[in-house]
Amino acid sequence: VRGLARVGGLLALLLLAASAQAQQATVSATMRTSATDVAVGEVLQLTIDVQLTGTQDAEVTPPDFTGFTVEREEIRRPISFTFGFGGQTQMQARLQRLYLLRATRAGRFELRPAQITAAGRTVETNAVTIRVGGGAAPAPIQPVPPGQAAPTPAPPPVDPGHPTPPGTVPPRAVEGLSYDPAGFLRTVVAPADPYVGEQVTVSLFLYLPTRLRSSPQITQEMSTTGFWTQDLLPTNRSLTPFSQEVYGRRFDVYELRRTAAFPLDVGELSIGAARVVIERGRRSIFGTVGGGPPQTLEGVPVPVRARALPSAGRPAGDIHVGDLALTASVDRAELRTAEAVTLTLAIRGRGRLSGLRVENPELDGVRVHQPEVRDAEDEGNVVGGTRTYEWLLIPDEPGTHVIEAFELPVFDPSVGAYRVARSAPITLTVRGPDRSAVAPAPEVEEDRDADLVATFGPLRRQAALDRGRASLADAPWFPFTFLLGPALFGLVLGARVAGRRRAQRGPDPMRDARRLLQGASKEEDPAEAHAAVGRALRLAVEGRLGQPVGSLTRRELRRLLSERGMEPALASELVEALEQADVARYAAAVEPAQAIAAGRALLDRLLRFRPAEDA
Amino acid sequence: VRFALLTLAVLGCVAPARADSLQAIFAQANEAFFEEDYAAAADGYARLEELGVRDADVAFDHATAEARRGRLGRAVLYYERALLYRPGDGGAREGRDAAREAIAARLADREGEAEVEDSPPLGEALFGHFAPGTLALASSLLLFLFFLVLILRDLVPRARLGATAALVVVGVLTATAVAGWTLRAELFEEGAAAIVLRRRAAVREGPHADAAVLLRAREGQRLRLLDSPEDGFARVRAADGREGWMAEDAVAPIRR
Repeated sequence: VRGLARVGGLLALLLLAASAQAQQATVSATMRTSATDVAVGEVLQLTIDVQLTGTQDAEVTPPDFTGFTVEREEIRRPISFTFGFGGQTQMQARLQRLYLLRATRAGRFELRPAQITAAGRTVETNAVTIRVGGGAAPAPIQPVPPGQAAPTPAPPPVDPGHPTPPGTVPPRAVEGLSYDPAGFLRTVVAPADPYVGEQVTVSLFLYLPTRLRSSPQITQEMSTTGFWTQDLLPTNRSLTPFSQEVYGRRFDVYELRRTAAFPLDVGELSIGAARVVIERGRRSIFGTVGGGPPQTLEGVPVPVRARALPSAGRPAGDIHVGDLALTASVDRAELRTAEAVTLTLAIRGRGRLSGLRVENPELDGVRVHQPEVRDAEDEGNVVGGTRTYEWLLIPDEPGTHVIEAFELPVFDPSVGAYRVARSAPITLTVRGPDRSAVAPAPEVEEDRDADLVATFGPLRRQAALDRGRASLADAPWFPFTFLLGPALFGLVLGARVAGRRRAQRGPDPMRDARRLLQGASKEEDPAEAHAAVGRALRLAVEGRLGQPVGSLTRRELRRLLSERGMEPALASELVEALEQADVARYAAAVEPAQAIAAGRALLDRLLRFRPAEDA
Repeated sequence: VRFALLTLAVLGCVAPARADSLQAIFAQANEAFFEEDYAAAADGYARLEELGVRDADVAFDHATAEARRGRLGRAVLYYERALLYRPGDGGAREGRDAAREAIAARLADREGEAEVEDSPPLGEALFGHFAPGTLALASSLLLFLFFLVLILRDLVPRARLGATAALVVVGVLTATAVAGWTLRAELFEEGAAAIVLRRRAAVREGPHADAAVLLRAREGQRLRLLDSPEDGFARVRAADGREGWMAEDAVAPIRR
């Protein structure tokens, strides 16, 4: 019994533990999207799937949807039930949170894990990465109609499988269409911001909720000003619709046009609106029958922003946008002079091959004829194909002639980088005699024709047979003639400046006095010499004192000189010298030379004299 | 006196002898031209040039002979030379333009399309009717006159207003003449103006035949000849600034 009791107790403990385990809630969650590569403007569905055990309620915190706008949010509970017995019932539930997200800008977006809180526990989902391209991407969910080649253009904003509840979210107009439940036209452009020269695929779709009774009439084509265009759909084809659900409504979709458009210049361009006349029908057991009068549908214009090719790393020359591969070949590499060889250059690739320019090869000693050019276009949605150049070469000189590699700079918009497509160089080995002497050299080709003869002339029969006189301007001294004017001007200007300076300096009595003494020394008449000495001394005294002294007596002069601060000895000598000069005119007491020397000495002493007012 | 007489006698003998010789070559070249032997005519005119003749009419005839034999690049070259010797020569200008048009037409026939001749240099477009020497003399005289008027304006206060007006006029004329001389004589241009003689002449990265081709110059196109040719190649600069080497015989300077 004790053993049974132990076993029973153990079982009871196990049941209790199991019960406790059953009562503890468990939460698991995942996050997924309907697409991980979308274009700007496209809609994708993000689903957060939560598995709950032991509880039915959970709080879902979605990740940050930067780069997207939430078009619609929906909560679903596809599974929720309980099982068990008594108080040990077990609850299981499934919760789905759906978000319709519209990509608003290009880039790579990592959506962080969503957080789910249930029964006091928090778990996280996985993270999701979404790449958003610059333009519309190929349709990932659109059914491809029979006979149509993938990829098809982007679909309109749809929510497949999840019809919008009536009256909940009104459909909004998006680029390229004006939504009308009764039918509308949609223009799809991919990419919307191409590089200049890059292919833009433009498609025109007709959306109708009812069947067409007859083929639609396009009364106005989409305008493509500023583009070089090429139709991508075959001329003869059947107009087969495919189904698509838009905002909860099912439409028959007809593709009316698909065109490759290459922007020719940088800037804002536009694909113009198309206008289509349709006749509706309705389904019956007898097929599609008439449903009303003709109706006109008008599309909307779609902008295209053509970007300039990047300047970084741009090689020289005309750039081909797309992709190219060059292959050069000759039909024989060894030949004799004057024999012909065919050089073939095959350029295969994507893009507008008709815009390619290839220069003729240049080979010394080989005549190169004009090439024959052939184009072969590929079928499909991407414009491309093969362009072939064939040159006929005729070597005139024996030896080895190297045909240089052909080079074409290419910009590949898919990787956004430049490269130079090259062919391999080809070597021709030519044997035989040199025929260059008989072959016309390129620069001396005689191309005489009647037009040239008529155009040029007539001859000038008279000529002076001038042997080229040297112009004065060629003389070595000629550049110096340009200095004559400035030199003359400088001389005149210098003279004027010197005169002006002299005028500014004013009279200089001491200088004039010295000149008078100089003149006195040359004077032959002693009386005149003494008189000159007297004038010189008086002029010097008047200059120093700044006042006339001619009318003063000797006493008055001595007093004046004393008052103005002159040393008595100098004043006496000066007065005596003046008196002696006056007297000497009649009876000279000393020789003129002595008087002049004494005068000079006095002038020197007067120079050092500073009158009282000036001190 | 004897020496002077002797000198006069020598000059009197030599001068007519040279003229007769040049005249004879010129007459023979003209005769070949009228016989439609344009190659012989062109050789005769070329010989005159080798003998030092720098005559606009001879250059014109040379250009015409080259044009009629189909060597249009050379025709452009000699018409340009005629215009260098006589800037106002309307016939030479018309001939040069016609030669360029014929080159373009020939190119278009061959390749489907062709670029029409590039615009003339600025100096030629603005001052094409004046020789560089004439513009140089005018510049020097006008500059002297400018300073003369400047001195007059300074020395005669009463004539200051009139002298100022004259100063402006003479200043403008001087600047125009100096600009014209600078442009026409290509004083600030490196190298010498030259003409391409071959069709699609290769400008290579280096002075040898195996060097990569930088560009193809068109026959009759203007280039700058930067250095004297060496080893059969001349360094040139195209209008777009690209420099390279061209076969010596594919290009010739306008001024000899």
